Amino acid sequence: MSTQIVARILVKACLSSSLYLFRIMYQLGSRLGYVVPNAFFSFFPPAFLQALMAMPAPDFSLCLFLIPERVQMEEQFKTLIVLSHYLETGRFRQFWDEAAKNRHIVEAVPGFEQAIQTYAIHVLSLTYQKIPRPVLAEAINIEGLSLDKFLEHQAANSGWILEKGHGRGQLIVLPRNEFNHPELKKSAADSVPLEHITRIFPILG
Amino acid sequence: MYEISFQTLSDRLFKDTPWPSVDAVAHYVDNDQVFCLLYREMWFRHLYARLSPTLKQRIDSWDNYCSLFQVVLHRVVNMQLPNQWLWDMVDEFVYQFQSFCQYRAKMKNKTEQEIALLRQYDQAWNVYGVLNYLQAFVEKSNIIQILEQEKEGLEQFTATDGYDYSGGSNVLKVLGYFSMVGLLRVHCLLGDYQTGLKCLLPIDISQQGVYTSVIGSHIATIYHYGFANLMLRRYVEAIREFNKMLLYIYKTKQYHQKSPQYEQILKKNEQMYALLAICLSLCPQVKLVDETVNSQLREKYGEKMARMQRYDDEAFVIYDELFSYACPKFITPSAPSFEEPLVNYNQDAYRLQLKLFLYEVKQQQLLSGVRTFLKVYSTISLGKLANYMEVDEPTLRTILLTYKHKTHAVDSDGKIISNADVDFYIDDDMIHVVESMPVKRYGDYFLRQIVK
Repeated sequence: MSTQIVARILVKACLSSSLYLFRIMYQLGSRLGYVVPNAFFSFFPPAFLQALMAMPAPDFSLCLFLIPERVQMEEQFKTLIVLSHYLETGRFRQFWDEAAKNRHIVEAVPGFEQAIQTYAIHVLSLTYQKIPRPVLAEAINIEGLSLDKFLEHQAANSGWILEKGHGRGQLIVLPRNEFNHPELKKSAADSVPLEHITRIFPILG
Repeated sequence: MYEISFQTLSDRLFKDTPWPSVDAVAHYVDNDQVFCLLYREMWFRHLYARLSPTLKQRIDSWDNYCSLFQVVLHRVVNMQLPNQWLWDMVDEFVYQFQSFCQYRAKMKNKTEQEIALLRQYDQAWNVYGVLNYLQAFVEKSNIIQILEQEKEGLEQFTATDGYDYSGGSNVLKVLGYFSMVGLLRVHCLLGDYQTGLKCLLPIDISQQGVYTSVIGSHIATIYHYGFANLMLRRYVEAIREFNKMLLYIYKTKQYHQKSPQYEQILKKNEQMYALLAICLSLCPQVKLVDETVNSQLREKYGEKMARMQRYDDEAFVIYDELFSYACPKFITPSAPSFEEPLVNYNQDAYRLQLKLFLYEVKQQQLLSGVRTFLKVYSTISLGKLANYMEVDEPTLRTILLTYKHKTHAVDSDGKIISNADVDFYIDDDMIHVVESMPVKRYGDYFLRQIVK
């Protein structure tokens, strides 16, 4: 089996979100003697970018658990690990700066920027009821007229509300959820899975 | 006979020698193939426990498992075996795989003969072979469908502890069941926690089941389940299950004092306390821990937990120490390269998992400080908190985002679950603190009582 074919199978395994399959194919690649040919690993970064795009799901960490340390020391992986670190620690400004320096990596997968913006909005929605415009702009890397258009779209389609801040510019009111509005939190004690209830159906009958 | 006599005879007659070879006993049992395979399995198990197997013996043991498992998978086996025996078989199979990987990875002092054997028998204890057998048991036994149908009252499995009282055999079904736990264990050894948890999904660990019918299986299930959840940052889930298991061991260990597994039970007990200490240091949800367990925990790790929560250099040393003590014996499953200079790589897998765990701890370094302040205030401005924490406001905002991200994990269904003991939300530049009360689950308790 050629290096190219093995590498393509590996990428496909990653994109299918089957880390188990990924692990098998990676080991298969190693067993066949394709240990670290450069062409082989050129297929990896796009697959790991996909994992970053899945945040807040821990797909990227799950990948790191499976890849030997010596492979993680490769330059392209180091960059991805740095990007992941910034996202894990809410340092969006640093993330976008680093991404800009490594466009050749991040542009390999379509939709990467949008996926990270979605993740940023997710974290902001856990945290804020109302968020100042500059904070949002930094997190999603959009400003000026582009940000105005983005906000209009979100207001029309996602329930965002735009308010005037206390003399400090715009405030964006994010949609209510149980994490930024604790009064919405459902009591777990009130909910029992249906499959647990089925066990007492014969008794109730 | 299996549970008591074998152990008694081993202690009395074969304390540090092997049992008689299968060739020496075969004619007493009319050369019954299944008996000989089962006897050989126990022969090797005794060898691993009391002596040190040679490479040839390790390979022969693999061959024996292959032959035994082929019989179970492809022939009609009309016998019932104790669950303890069937669990021990799966447990030992995974243990010998782990042991072989550790042995093989120490290449430095291998003799030429050993290297030649490793090259010749490169399929022995191959990771795909091990996973395939366990998966084959799960599939061939239809155990997943059986458990599903049991929920609808169409099958009986748990109620009979897996035994078949209508003249059939329990062997394939129960091996299939225990293989799910075996798969969880193997995937944890490989660092594939998500896949491991997926393999265990058909077993409802919030209920009693066949996995609780054997103490070794019960402990192995919860230990690996808890560990996998810890690595996935699902700390509340890990704390809940470790707490339940530790309380169970506390109440029942006296009944296992004479069991050959007693020392292993005690070891796993200590390891789970260490993991619980780690979880509670990262996610202080002490209210989830039973008073008895909490008191034991304070005695063993109270001081270390206080130091871990300081997140200074000493704290990382303690996290390292507890993780290294309590973690599974991770393995690198790939075969060695015989061309390069021979090196030992048996620690590589463990070092990687430790490194990534400490990396995660480091990322949560500042969260403890935030927590301390949030416990004291009901509202506080960003400016004031930034001042107290000696950081600027933008940095504080990133710390608060980190707190939210790290305390809100993604569960197996893709839903966001909060691990936070103290939570907050921000309205413009004002932080509003919300003290989260972990909710006790009464529903399942009442359902169990109703069924009784």
